[in-house]
Amino acid sequence: MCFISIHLSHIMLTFFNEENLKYLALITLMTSLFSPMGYAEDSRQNLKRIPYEEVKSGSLFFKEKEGYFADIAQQSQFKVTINGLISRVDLTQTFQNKTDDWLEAVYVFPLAENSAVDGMTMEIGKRKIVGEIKEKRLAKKLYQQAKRIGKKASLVSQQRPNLFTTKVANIAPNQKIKIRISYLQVIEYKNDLFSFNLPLTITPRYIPQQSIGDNQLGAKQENKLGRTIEMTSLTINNQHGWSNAVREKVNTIIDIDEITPSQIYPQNLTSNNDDEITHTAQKVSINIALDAGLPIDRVESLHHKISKQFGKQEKNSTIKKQPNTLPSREKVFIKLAGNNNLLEQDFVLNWQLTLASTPKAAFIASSDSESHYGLLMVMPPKARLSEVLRKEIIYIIDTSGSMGGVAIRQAKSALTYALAQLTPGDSFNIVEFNSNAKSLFPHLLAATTDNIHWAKQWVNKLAAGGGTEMYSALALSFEQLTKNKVSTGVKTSKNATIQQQVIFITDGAVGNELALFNLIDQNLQEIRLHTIGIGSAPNRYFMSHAAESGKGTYRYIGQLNEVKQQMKALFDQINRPVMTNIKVDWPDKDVEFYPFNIPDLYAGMPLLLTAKWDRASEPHKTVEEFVAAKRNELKTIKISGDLAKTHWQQELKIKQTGNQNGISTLWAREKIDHLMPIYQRSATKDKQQIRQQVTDLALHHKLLSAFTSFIAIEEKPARPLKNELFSKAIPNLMPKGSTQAIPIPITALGLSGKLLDSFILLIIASLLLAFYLRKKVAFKLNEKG
Amino acid sequence: MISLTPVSYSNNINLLKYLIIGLFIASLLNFSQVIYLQIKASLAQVLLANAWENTLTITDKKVKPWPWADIYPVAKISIPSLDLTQIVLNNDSGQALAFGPGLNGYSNINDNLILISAHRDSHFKPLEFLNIGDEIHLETKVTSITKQVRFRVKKISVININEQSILDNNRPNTKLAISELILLTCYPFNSLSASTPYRLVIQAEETFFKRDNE
Repeated sequence: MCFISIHLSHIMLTFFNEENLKYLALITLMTSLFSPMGYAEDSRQNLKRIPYEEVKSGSLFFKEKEGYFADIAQQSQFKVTINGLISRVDLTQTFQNKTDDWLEAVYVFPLAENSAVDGMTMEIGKRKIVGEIKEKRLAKKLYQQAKRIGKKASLVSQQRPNLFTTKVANIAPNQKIKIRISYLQVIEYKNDLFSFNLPLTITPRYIPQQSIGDNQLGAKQENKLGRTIEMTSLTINNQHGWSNAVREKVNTIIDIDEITPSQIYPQNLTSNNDDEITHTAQKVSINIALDAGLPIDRVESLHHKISKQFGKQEKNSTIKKQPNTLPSREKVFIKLAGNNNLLEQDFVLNWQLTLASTPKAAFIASSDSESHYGLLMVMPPKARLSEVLRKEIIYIIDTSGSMGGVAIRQAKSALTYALAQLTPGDSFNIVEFNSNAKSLFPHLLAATTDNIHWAKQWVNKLAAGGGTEMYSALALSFEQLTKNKVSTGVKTSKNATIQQQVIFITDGAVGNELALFNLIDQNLQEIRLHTIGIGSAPNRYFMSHAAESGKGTYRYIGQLNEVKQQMKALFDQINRPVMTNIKVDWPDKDVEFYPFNIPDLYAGMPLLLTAKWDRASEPHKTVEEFVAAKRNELKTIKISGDLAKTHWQQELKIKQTGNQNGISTLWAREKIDHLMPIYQRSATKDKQQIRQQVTDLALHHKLLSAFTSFIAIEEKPARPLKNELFSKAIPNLMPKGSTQAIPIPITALGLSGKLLDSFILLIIASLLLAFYLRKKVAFKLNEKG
Repeated sequence: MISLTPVSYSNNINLLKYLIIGLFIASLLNFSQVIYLQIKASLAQVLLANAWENTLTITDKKVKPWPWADIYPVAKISIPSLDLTQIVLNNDSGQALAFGPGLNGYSNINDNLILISAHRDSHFKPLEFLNIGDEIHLETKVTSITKQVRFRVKKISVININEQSILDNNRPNTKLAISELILLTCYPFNSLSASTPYRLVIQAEETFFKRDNE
């Protein structure tokens, strides 16, 4: 009865809200009289009241024009050479000092999460200073020294696998300094589609409160880990199992300053004076020479307008001609159209090969004096759609402040599409999170028409605002799925026809990635976690690694019109059986390959391995003999796996003569990728050893890593020491279509609404009471009569 | 009514009786919830004021206002023109805002930008009457030294958080020499529902001079 009456009052509320403002005003007046807070009305009479009511969103009462003063500008130029599965990117960052002071520029920038940075050069006018790879702390020390004594110096270091910092010291007044960064990036290949991406800006990272440097994580404080403590009991249990050292490291983000650059909106770049700097700041140019190795069918850029040119060599090009081994194929030269492209949305280039030439396997090798290196790609066959009897799915949707703008619309649209894919027999739930996590239903419910309808309405109402407490959302989802498994019985869970899935829709704008990866690792069991990256600049490192930890897949939605296509592809992929127990037989002994644990493969995903084997295992021969032997000898790599109750096997005949540069670098990069999680999880005393291992590896391969940085220092001091040096940070542009740099909390209790509820109920009750009393009297009179 | 037989009539009237009792209870529940939230908000501020005094005198930075609290005071904000004095908490999660205004996580990172949010129908209710040029005083503690900062309101705006940023004004790209204070609360003030995409953004800049009439 209570429920009915509350419902009734809500209906009346909607009536008041939308139709009859007079009543609204009247009732608000009445409720304000009841207000126990009692801000005395008369004390405010002398204050001028601002007419907020007349103001629509966005209008300002007081407008101030402060021009954004661009004292230092940065421009990025990308020169990309794509050769089959590997791309070589030359990124030139031009820093231009427009002031009359000596400046230090600090620029935090994103790169693809699998980029292997192996070169840096500083260009001052015509002078070129080649950067050296040094241990990170040493490099930093050298940089500080050089900066202090007035030498021109630059330092490039890694903050996250996809987030880097360039520092350039002692840029003379009105001088330009170019920093050239060179890196390798493996082309993504799945579902017959090749994809190359260049992240161009950062979505502001959210830093959870408890992460802010607090070493006294006491017993009480531990509860802060999940603010919604009653929901995250599962997580807390698991955390007790962690060693102290790990917990501190994992939950404390030490480098907050390094990963949260200031961000501005593009419209703020324009200023009144027609200065050249404002036109060149934060611009990007991209030139790509695409040589797919096989005939190309279609090339398209997802988010940017491009101009394409087919041919052997680009007209008026400075790019060197690549040796063509297959005369029939053509290269494609791609350029960003126009000269006013801002660093505000990730660049994604997709291409397909002609159907006949779609590759099923590839092996690229290179050698140095000590070892051979190889990159192996095998595309397993696609299985038929599996007959899944039941799915248990939890959708997690990020409604934090960073999702504000187009991102939340993309996310809601993707979720609505996903809800429509549910079939009877499935059960599902939705978890939304910002400053804390909330689920639609208290536990998973059957996917009935009613429930889905209810869910769609709920999703429709979601709005972005608040923090990004991803941890509690993930913990809650894992807990609900685990509970559901227990309640439906362990027996059924062993049945392969039940799938437990988490589909995570987010921009990944967090700084505590490690804590989240650990949470996924520890609670995964049979659950599969798939991530969908949303927005103009998602945190790609988080997306791919969370999916890797969650044994799932990941994909991106960068624009609203991509939702349907991407979601369709996702469901097509996860509804097909995965290839498991993948084994690779190498022809040589002692092959060291990465990823160390070969993951299960989803339909349309290739197996991608980098391997190294020593030359020492070969018998010593003269060079001629060796070359002749190698040329004739075809070695065989055997790959096998289980796909939906069938065994699949493929043999790949290879020659060890191929020599594409960079395979060793990619191998080292993969090995570091393998070592870093071990480093993060090991105890303090083992850490030193692994750190050393990574450092040695990175130094040997001239690779930028968490423990190594590139540094270039000019010999001669440039800045007279009487001149002061000012440090300036280059702001990153806000991702296109984004509205929130800062998580905004909900700041209303809705007290007047509740008071109104109470009031309406009281009035109805009183009226009914009056009616009741009258009737009772009448009834009694009747009886007497 | 006349057509009713005595039996069904008495059934109906019984039903009506329960309905009325139910409605009264529902009304009372709603009302007591309002009272509870307001008492919680006011009482917490008393305890917090106490905790803040302790924070200023003791070297230990974090003083819990009550033993099981997961929050602690970090500043005292006062607006003389509104006769408003509140203790600001270390975070602005939903739980914290029930007790007082909260410091947004972003402000910890950039010291030059202080962002404080509170509920428009409890702690920040008086902000409706704030004017441009009004002073806001902030008392903080930086490494055992009590710091008093004076701000002056320079801009008041309403934004839709799904379409605009609170930082849409032109922020210079380096750390400011002058601190900026932003107060944030839901808008409109007399709205019935708790969820709204609109926020009142009050921007104030540090000022080093007293007003003439003070």
